[in-house]
Amino acid sequence: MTAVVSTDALQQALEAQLAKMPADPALQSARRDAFSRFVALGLPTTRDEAWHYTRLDPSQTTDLALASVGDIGEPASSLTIPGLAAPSLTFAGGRAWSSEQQTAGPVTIGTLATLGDRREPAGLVEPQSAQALAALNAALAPDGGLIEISAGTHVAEPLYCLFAATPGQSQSRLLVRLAENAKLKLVIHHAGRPTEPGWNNLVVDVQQGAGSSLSVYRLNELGADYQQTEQMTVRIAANGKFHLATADLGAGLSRNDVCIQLNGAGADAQLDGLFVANQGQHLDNRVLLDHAASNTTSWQRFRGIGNHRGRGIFNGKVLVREGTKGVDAQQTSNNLLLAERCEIDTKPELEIYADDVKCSHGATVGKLDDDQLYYLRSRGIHRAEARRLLIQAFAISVVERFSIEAVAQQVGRALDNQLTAAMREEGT
Amino acid sequence: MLTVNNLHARVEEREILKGLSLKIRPGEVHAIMGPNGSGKSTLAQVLAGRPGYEVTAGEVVFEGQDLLGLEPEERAHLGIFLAFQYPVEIPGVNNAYLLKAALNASRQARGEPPVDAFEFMKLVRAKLEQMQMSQDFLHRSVNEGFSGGEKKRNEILQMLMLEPKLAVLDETDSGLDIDALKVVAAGINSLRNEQRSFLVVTHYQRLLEYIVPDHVHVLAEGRIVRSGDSSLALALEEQGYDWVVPKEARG
Repeated sequence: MTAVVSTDALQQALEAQLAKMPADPALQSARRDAFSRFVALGLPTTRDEAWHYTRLDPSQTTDLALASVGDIGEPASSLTIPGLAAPSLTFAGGRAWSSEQQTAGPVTIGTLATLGDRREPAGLVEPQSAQALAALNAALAPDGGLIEISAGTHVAEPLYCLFAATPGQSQSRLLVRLAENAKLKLVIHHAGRPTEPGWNNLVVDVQQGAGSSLSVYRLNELGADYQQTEQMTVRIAANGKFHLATADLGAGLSRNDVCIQLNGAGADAQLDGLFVANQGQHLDNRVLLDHAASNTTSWQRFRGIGNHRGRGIFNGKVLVREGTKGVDAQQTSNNLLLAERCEIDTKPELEIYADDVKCSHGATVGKLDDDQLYYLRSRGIHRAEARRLLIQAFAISVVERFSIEAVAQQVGRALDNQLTAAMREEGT
Repeated sequence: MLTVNNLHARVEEREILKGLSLKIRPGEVHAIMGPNGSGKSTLAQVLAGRPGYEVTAGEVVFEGQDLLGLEPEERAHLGIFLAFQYPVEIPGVNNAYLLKAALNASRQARGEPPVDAFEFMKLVRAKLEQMQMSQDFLHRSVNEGFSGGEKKRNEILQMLMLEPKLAVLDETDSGLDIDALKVVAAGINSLRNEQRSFLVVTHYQRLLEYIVPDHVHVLAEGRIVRSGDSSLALALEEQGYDWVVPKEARG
């Protein structure tokens, strides 16, 4: 089961990357160290508990040549979300491009390369095994996007980050920094259907100052052959609010590691997730909610749908650290199996080292309700349409959490496409 | 319009209907009464085509067409409507969407163009007013959190929108207070005409004070054991079922 990674080509890619960078011994040695870490760790295997359900195939990931992307320029309008302002940051092949570089004033938006910024992601705390992917990203990422909001600044319009899928291997990163009491809405959109194999290994590193508020709306509508691994780490200081609405409605393989640290009293994280796995798709969501301070609150509400020969996974863990008080954490995972041959794995976990806590978790796996189906059909609605209505009704509580209308509509369309494709596969 | 001949049906291996025959002509209102467990609701569900209700013998012909081979939605397209005894809650699907989808599905089956948003709103507003329901209701999920009375009103609202040829009302009076009963009955009566027929399934005579039937049938042990005019319902109210239901058929 051990995935044998051929590192020669990756080593060459590292040398090529270092050659392009300004002579900076510290940075170069940091990248070499990261690469050594990756080589020592190797790709995660199903023996790692956190990767129990998902195996990465080197031939679809690390063996792929690094994407060569020239100037990205304006992203194809076929990829962007209608009704939303143009992307502030566009990523392709690990490179980043900013349409509105802002370097002065309360809002910084740009690429690390052009900003001359040598910041590195702070690194993951957990799962340890995802460190390998983070290390590879640290070694090879050619550039990164940076969004920085100064203290007290409320950004009214959402900032849009488009990740355009390209053939080959992409190592991408995005750093988001909110200072005290800053407020931001961020759209993370993965789109594109390259005909050649491609893999994007993305690190999103978020740091939120005290009292800051961040809403992230994430949509994956990648082509069904594309592979994506994503490590999002969010560190939240006292009274910071973080909300993530996430929808996985594409990709052949998608693995999302979301790690959230609530580091100060009053910090709050709310996660609403939806995934719909069709034939040949493997969609894995892993969440760690780390309650490292007293009086922190969180909820995770994930909804999964399995169509014919699809596989979806939700593995959410709540960790309440020793010495904390008044933690309130809720976690639910509701799943719908729409075919005989599909699989949903749901594993909510609680790890509690404190006494004064309020934690709940629950998971359900079920089928469409026959009585509801019959009721709709008795009103003249065709069976296929009635099924679609009920599936959409199941998903709507998550779709509604995309509180930017244009994004919610895009999620609705992507969901519709996904259900149409599933019906075609089943021949219903 | 509807001919039911020697109908036998079972649910989960249990035979419920055992040779039921019934003939409904255009414009007629028939009431089916009978003790609990006599098969009243089963008849209503078999007519609407509920999956799991297995017909083992007999036939049901609607306007010259064999109904039993048709899917529930195809029966709806022909103009059959069942008002449910227990309307189903569907969180996440709003009433306006259901009403429009249902209306357009039947129109499409008849080769008519779909109603546009303006026509639809005009129509639905008029029907809401008739049923004394607020417009907020359109944005609520189907039957979710509705009181028993609201659910029954909603059934009749759907019926008013769809204008079926044959409406089967399954215990529509149960769970209604007297004011709601009057509104519901008025809604039903407003649709009565020479072409449209009704099959009213009820346990009590109360509803029949407002919807006066042309024919009353007593169902017992899966068969019709007695038929008469509306005076039969009154007699049943006064004397109970004992005198019409054979001793061996009493629960």
